[in-house]
Amino acid sequence: MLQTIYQEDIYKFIESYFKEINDISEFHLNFFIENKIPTIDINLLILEKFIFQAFKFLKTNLEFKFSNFLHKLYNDIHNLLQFIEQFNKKSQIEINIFENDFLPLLPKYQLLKEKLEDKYRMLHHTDLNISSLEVQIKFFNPKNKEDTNELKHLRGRLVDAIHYNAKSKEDISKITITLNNLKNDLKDTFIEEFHKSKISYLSKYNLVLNTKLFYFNKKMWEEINQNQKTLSYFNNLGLKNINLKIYIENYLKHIDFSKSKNSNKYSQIENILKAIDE
Amino acid sequence: MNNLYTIYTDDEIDIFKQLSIKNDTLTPTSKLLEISKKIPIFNDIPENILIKILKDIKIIKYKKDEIIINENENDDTILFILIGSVKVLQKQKLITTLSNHTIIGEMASLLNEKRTASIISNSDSTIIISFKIDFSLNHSSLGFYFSIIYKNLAKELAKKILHQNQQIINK
Repeated sequence: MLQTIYQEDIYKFIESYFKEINDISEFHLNFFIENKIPTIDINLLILEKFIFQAFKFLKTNLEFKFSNFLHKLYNDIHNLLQFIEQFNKKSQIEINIFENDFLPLLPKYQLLKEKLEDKYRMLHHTDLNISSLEVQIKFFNPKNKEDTNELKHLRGRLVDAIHYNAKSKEDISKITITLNNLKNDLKDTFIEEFHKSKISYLSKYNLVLNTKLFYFNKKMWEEINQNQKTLSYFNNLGLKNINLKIYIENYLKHIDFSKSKNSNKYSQIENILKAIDE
Repeated sequence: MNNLYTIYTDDEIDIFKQLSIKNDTLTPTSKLLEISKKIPIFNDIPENILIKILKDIKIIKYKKDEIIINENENDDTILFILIGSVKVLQKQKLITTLSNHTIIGEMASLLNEKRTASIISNSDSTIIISFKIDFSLNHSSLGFYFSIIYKNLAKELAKKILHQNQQIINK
C-alpha cells in the first residue's frame, strides 16, 4: 500500500537522477538517426583499452599523425567514458542512494526526521536538567521552613523532568519505528526500480559509446593502413593488413591463459573479435 | 558539461557515413529494427523483444546463380528475400521460384533438420536478410511472443503452399 502511495515519488526521483545521462544518450542517438548513421550493437567497450592503446602507441612511439577527425572522435569518446565512469561510481551502491538522496526528499520522512531530532534535543536538555536537579537536591541542606518548601519544589521539578524524559524516550522509540517502517516498505521497491532503470539507461549510453568506438576503430586502422611507415613497422613484426583483430590476437599470443587471472575476460575478447567481422 | 555534446561538421558526418557503408554484414541496431518491421513473422513483436530473440542477423547481397542454401546442409538460419528472387531446387530439379518478401529456410529451423532444398539467387542483386531465432527462450517469460511468431510462421507457410499450388495449376 505504502509503495503505491510513493510509487510516483520513486519514478520522479529515478527520472531526475538519470536525466543527464539520458539527455547525453538522446543527443548522440538523435545525431546518428538524423544523419542515417547506423548504431552498432557490439560490445566494443571491452576492447576500448586495446583500441586506445594502439592509438596512443602509434602517436607517441611512431609519431603517427592521425587526422583531426580521429582526434576529435577520440576526445569525444574519452569524455563520454570519463563521465560514465564517475556516474557508475556514484550510482554503484543503491542503498546509499535510497537513504541519502531519495528518502530526504519525502515530506513525511523529513517531518519524522525533524521530530526525532527535536525529541533527541529535548531529551538531552532534560537529561542535563535532571543531573542539575539531582546535584542541587543532594547538597541542599534545609535550614528553615522556606528551604524545606524549596526542596519540595526541586523534588517536584525532578519528578516532572524524569516523567518528561520517559515520555520523550517513548516518543523517540515510536518515531524510530515509524521511520524504519517507512524505509523498509520503500527500500525493496526503490532498489528494484532503480536497478532496472540503471540497466536501461546504461544500455542506451553504451550503444552510443560502442557505436563511436566502432567508427573510431574503423577509421584508425584505415589511416594506419594508408601509411608506409606504420605498415613497414607492422610488417617487420610479421603482421600484414593490420587491424584490431590482428593487433589483439598478436597481444593474446603472448599470454599464458593457464596463469592469467583474466582468462575469462580474454575469452570474452576473442568472442567479440569474432563478432567484429572486419 | 558541453564537452559531452560534441558537434560534428558536415564533412565529418560524411566520414561517419563512408565508414558505415563498408560494413553491410554487421548488425547495427538501427538497421536491425528497421529490417524487423519488414519481416512478416515479426508482426506485432515489439522491438525490445526482437533484440532479445534474434541472433546473427545479417544483410547479404547475392549475384545471379550464387548458392544461398545447399540441400542436405545442417543450418538453422532463416532467410528473408528483401529484394530479388530465388530458385528452389531439389536434387538439381527446379521446384519453384520465390520472390520479394518471402521467408525461406524456416522448416529446417523449426524442425532442426537438414536443408530439404537448395536455394539459388535468380537475380543479379538479390538481397537476403539472414537471421536465427533463439527458440530456447520459448520457455522463458517471452513465451507469449513466441506464440505470436508461431502464428505468423503458420500464416507464411500457408501462403507458400497456396503459391506452390498456383504454380502447379499454371503448369
